[in-house]
Amino acid sequence: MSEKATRVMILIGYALFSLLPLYWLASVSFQQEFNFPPKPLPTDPTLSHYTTLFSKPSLVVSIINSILIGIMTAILSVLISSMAAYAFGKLKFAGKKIVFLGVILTFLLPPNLNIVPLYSLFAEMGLLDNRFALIFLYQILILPLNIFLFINYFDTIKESIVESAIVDGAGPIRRFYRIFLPLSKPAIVAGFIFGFRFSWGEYIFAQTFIRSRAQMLFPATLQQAVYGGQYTVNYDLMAAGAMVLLVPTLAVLIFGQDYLEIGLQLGGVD
Amino acid sequence: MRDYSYAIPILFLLPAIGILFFLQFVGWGWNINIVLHDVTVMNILREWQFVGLENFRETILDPQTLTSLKNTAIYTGACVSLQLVIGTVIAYFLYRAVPRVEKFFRPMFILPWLTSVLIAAFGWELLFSTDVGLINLMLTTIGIPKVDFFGGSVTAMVSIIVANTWWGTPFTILFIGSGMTSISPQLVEVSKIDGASEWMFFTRVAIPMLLPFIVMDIVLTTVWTFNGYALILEMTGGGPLNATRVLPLHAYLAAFESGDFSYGAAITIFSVVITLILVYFYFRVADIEMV
Repeated sequence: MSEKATRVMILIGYALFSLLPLYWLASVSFQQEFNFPPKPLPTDPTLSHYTTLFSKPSLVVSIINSILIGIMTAILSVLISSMAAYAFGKLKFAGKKIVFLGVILTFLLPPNLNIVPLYSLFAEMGLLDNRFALIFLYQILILPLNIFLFINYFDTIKESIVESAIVDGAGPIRRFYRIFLPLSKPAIVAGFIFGFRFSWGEYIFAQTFIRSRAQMLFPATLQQAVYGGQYTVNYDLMAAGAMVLLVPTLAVLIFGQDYLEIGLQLGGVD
Repeated sequence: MRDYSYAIPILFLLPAIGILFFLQFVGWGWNINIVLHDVTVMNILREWQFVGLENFRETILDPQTLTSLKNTAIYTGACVSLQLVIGTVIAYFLYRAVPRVEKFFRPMFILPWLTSVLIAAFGWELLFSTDVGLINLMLTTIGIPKVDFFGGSVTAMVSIIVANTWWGTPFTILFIGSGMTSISPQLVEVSKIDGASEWMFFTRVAIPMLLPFIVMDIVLTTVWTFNGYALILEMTGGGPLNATRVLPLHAYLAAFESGDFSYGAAITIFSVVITLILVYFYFRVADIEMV
């Protein structure tokens, strides 16, 4: 019995470790002042830091930009990754293995690695300081995972349905949008969640490729606002901003956990 | 074969593969182009002067490059070991827990991995802070003076390692956990009847069965930790005195803070080569399911 108790204690300990930074961000975001020592629990909670955050036009604009770019990135990613997955999983063509190997390689190599050449390439193409360019750039973060997701999901669709469609004379293009896509709603939702999550949280490319206020995404504007003063850190914006950044993640955990599980299982992670 | 058998796969593949391969592989090619020229923030859109291998010479002779390599080894080594040990143990405990307990803990454990890297950085910056830090509050409560974590080179390194472990371990929990589903629960019962303790089962049965997963996990977390400098850039910016400047961050700062793109591109090539060597080991071990 004690062995089991130890196991549960360790699980509880790790759960506390997992929640600690999030708890602390939440706690600080409600504290009146930021003088040492801080209070473990805010004694006189205030919402003023959230008011400060939402009263800054640049931050509000960037939140809207981030939502917009997140949705567009996710939709594009679901559309083209499902198409590619259909070709990999359901069509025959020469050279499939080598192309797929390239996809795996792209999955394994972190995109941050390529930031120097990509910056120069985007400069050459006149795509710097354009938030819509990020929609394409972010595909490198999401596409491999979503392609794996759709390949695996398409495999769960019954052969008999596909065969009867072939008998009815449906060609490969028609089979894709009449059978595979309509039957893949869970994968579409999971792929959308992945796409939005990566785009929403990314900040290296967002900060480096975009310079003008009107185009900036939330993580980049927030980062700049937090270090607005030369030698001071704006703890109010840091904590309240992080809580805003956390909203989609929590929403997915609360409302979309089933889809998340599907995504994790079929995305090859789980 | 009918003649559309090539046209249709290409039609379906082109958008995704075009974007992906352009950003990845054209990116590599362009990187070599940058290295062979003298590119700075001043002339990035103008004519570049060809300088041959001069940029490699410059990076190799720079003592900062060696410091970055050393920092990379310490940071990656510590993060990967911590993630592997903690992740495997937690995955095993989740596997041994009853479904109700597993369902309760799992979302909490995945949560850090789902958050933005900025949340990980901000959260740990606040915890380690000298102004609003919970950790310094605890230290002073037990009579230890405040520690300026981001001011000292060792403590700054410890801070980013802790933050990265918090953020990255859930992947190992998920990945090793998926490997554990192949170990049948009856096996645990049988070995218990044979008199094996929990520890013996874990080390003699579970770990050997999970070995391929463990190797793949090590490679993946190494590659991602090695290159995931976003957390460090935000938390310490590579400081104090370059103590947390890892190799890819070295490239980033050279290009975007000092404006020397060719230097950054040369360092990028080192990073890509190291990463490709690691990926090679992944392919050797992973039984990659080809479509």
